[in-house]
Amino acid sequence: MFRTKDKLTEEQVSNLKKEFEVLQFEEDTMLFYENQIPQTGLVLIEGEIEVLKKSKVQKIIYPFTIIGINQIINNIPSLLGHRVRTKSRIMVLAKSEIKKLLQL
Amino acid sequence: MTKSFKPFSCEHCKYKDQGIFCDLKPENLAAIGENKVMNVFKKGQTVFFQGNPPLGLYCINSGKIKLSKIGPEGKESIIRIAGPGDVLGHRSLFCNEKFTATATVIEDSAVCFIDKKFIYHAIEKDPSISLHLIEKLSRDMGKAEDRAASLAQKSVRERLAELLLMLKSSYGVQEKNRWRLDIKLTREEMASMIGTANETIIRFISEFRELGMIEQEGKIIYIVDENQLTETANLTY
Repeated sequence: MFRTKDKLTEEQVSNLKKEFEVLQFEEDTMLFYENQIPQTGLVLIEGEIEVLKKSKVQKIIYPFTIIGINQIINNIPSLLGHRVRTKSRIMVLAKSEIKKLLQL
Repeated sequence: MTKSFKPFSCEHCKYKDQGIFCDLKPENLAAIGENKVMNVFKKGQTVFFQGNPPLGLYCINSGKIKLSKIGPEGKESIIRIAGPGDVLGHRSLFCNEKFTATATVIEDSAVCFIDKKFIYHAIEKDPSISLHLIEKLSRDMGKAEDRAASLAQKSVRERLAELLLMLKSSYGVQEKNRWRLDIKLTREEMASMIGTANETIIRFISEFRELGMIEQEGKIIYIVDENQLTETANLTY
């Protein structure tokens, strides 16, 4: 089972790239706020993402980290907000595609 | 551990009969409900950002959201205010271009998100969605044309009267012999919507009040004399 903040290997990312779109996000883009369900699952490919609690940065996420899959599949709001720290390339895993992939 | 959140189903959405999904078969509407993500955004939070790629479509279930563009000099222009039943992000999504505006919540809002792949799949399955989208885009285009004409041909005084009437038609609540505008906009936001300065708005609001067209209680505006306001708005052409 996928867990949030799981790191993927280069090979796994390369395989996922065949199926999922990688998009560029501008600096300071709020991906999702605290207590929200992420709109899509995400895999950071290039750049940095800040993890926030009450607007304060708790940690920085680096490439190949997978974000939000558990929350999006189970409709669980994230306890932490996520914001793009530097212009980043992020793989977008839509809920409908994840469900198809996991055969839910 | 945070509890699972049961999203509001599309079948029970009170706007389902007026949106782009109004002609969907119950099973197709239920599939959208299963694949959407519903979130509550607080006032001041951003639903999407100008310059970022669209990931899907947004349906507003409750609240109010302003769409604004930031110009090259960093000045904000409000394009429109969206409310319950409105769809956002469709233009950029189907043009496959980056968002040309930012959507910021001005009153706490519940927003449903449907991802791009699923929307395309839903359209293939039920083309009625495309017809309603065309209808919506045509209406949006008509409004944009009216707005461009208004900015080019009307005075600020006329444009302010027009804005107040537009807000009345979307957010007016009748209270005895006057209409309360059930939307909290700052004077700066109103100025941005009609392309003028803050000071000019304040001056004309004061003039409209003195002429008995409107009343003000704190930040709330009431429309008292709609006929006089319509005449001032010069809506005849």
